Amino acid sequence: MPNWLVRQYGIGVEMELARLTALWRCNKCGACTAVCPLYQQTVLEGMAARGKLALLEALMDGALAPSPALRQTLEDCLLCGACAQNCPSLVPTTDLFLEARADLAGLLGLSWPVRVSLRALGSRRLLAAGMRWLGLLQRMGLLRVLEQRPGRLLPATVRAAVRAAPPIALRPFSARRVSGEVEGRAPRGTVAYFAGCVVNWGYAGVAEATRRCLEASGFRVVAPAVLCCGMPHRASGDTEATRRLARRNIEALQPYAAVITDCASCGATLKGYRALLSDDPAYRERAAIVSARVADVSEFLVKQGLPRTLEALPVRVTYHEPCHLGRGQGVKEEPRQILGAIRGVELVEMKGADVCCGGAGSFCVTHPDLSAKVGAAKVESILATRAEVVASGCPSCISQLRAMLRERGVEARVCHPVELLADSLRKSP
Amino acid sequence: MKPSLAADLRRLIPAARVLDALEDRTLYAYDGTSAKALPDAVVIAPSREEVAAVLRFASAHEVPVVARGAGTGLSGGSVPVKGGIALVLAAMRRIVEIDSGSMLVVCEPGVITGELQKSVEAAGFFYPPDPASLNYCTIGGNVAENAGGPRAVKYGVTKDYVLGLEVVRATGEILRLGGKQMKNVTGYNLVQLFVGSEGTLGVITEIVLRLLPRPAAKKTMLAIFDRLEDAAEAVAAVMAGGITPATLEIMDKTCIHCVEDYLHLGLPRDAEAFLIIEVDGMPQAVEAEAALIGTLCRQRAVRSFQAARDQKEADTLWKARRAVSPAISQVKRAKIGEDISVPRSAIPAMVREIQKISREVALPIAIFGHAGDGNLHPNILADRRDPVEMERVERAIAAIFEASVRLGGTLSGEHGIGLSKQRYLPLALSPEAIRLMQDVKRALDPKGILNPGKIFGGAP
Repeated sequence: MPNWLVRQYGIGVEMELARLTALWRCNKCGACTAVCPLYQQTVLEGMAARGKLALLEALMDGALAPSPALRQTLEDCLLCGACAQNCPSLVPTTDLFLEARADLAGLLGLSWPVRVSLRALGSRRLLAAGMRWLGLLQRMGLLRVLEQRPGRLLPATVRAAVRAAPPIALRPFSARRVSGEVEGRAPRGTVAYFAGCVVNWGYAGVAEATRRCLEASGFRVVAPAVLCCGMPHRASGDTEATRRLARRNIEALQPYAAVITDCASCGATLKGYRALLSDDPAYRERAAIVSARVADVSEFLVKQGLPRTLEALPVRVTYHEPCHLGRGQGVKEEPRQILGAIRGVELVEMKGADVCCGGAGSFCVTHPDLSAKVGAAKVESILATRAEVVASGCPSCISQLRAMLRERGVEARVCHPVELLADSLRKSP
Repeated sequence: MKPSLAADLRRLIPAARVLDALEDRTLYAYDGTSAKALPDAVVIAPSREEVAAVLRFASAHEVPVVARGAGTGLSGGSVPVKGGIALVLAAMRRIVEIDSGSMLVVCEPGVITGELQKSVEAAGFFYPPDPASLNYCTIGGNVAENAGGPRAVKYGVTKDYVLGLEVVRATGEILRLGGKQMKNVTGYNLVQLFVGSEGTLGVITEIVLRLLPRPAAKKTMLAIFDRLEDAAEAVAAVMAGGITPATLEIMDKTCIHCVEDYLHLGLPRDAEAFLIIEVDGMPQAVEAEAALIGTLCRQRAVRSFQAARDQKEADTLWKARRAVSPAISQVKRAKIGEDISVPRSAIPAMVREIQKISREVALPIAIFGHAGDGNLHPNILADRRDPVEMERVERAIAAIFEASVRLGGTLSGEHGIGLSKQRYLPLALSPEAIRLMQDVKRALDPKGILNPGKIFGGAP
């Protein structure tokens, strides 16, 4: 734990100068408030990056102690990265917040529901057990009853989780037939499909579409046994678990020349293994190699050439850009190119396509009200396009957009861009 | 810290909008300068009635009240140096009406200036003042600081648009001044007394602004000069040539170097000045003015002159200017921005003075600003945490102010005096003028509860 908190509280390691310098570079100009979806909704100083940085500065100066209130402010953040991208002084805001979350987790510990969730996500066996229970409860209709009961049988956060959860499969996608034969021609190579937890258990249709598109482009697809990418652990400040998961995944993915994922957050995290493990002599090089091989499915398909013989799909589509794909990975054009390549698809840009939808992984569960406010603003932008389909390359965004549109009583399909591409393949011979 | 203050306020204001945890107070302790001071409590006010309630309470108990919009000011104006209540007006962000017939807009103080501009543009109008922070500063703060911006050269500053104000006085009394009239000489011009008063005379809760028709066309030009004096001559020639550009921005050599180090655009490092010139108006007029500006610049040894053909090219020309802020942030850990205003003809002399000061204190000073109206922003690049370096910064600031006043200029063009320039006030104002201002302050705020410690320092 090398940092200022350590210096302040005497745990023993010296401070990280780079981090301090980054913090000092914030001159409180306020530019972050203009792009922060939470500030836009609340107009509260603590929501925007500037306020959070001011608190971290006070913490460093010893004017503030690590407190639950401070931690709450740090957690009132979508991690959408809009502030970092628009900072005139180039403060790496989200990185600083994640590091501070880790510090506070170390000092204050994590709450038991968070610990249990992270533990389950980090273990294939526990995750499978948990998911099967969830799937069963969904099938029995029990959760829906509990959610809809006007009484207070469930806390708001659990109700939000129930609402946001996609229909859970009893068998994950990765356990089904994956590595198929490529129709017609010799494979151009083998790619590893990184099945993210949410897609694997809740969005088999997305995974299936990704597989079909990759195969149609001439690739053999295998789904190695991987663990959670570690994003939830990093966001919660569980550094050790994040690094452990990264190492295990690097071992699983290293044999493959290409690693493809259809989850924006997993993709951003996998690409970030290089930086995450840059101080780990045993894994540094391997991490760099694997990270460099990771590609979002849209990135890969566009680079390799989109599959041909596409049937017309006459729909009006708008694209919501996931934060972890657009800002996180710089993949902005490729998903739009895919949509544009489907005959019949009319792609209509919405206002602020790159503004966070408020889903933000577990944020929609931990902050149901704020998440819904941000989501409602996104729904307005979507409705203005009069699109029948909303495409977005991130399962968290898909869940959020579905929930928000449902709440508004809007009938619109929300899907991953590759699902539309796969639809247009399905019709072809 | 007064332990009962928040409790007392919660008797008047719903508890959720009265904050007093140390974390919350820390969040409302700063503005866009490096100054910070903790308020004893924070009130997020949604309406004039609550503002009035807070002021009535504060007046009765003699508690300082510091009004705050988005906290983006650049002179410490909203920093509560004497503690008390940070009165946050950011949530009062309603545009009350856009009156197309009378070409004006009525709005609450928390409206973001850029949002206001977009809203009136959608209705075919134009609100010109454009401070660099327009996407995140509030119109209330703009009025309280009399904010300017690049377009001031043609369109003036905030004060030129304020027709009416609703102000809550120190006593809590709600007062309406001016109104929707374009012309109004009925009694003293108290509206303008409150414009630029930095929250020391009252709290603004509603604003009437006049609007202009939206210009039909705009053209952007970039002129690069080897010598600063040539650039200044070109500016004078353009203005004398019968053209009032909408903006006329200058970047000095240090800016050019910083931007080139940062973006590698291939900017000429041996050039001494960039001028970014924009004209707007009817399309034919804009074309004719741009052509004439080109001719005038070429007659003054311009090194290169480019005129944008479309918005995309215009954005390219602005690229270097817009990159100045991030670029100079790369040099040192902080930039301390100043805001002097000199007669337009004194710009080359002022730039030379600043360059000399920069050498003397051995700190880089990047100069950019509004060449068209004489308002320059020397940015001293230094490490805020280094007391020795900050002492040199103080020396540089004092020397810059002295030079500015010597050349017929003043301390601040658009940021205000607030905290950061109050020490230098006697440089620019006579003792009689300061005394008169203090008399005005005392007349309006006898208990001295409104933003105490600003403009004049300790004793109002």
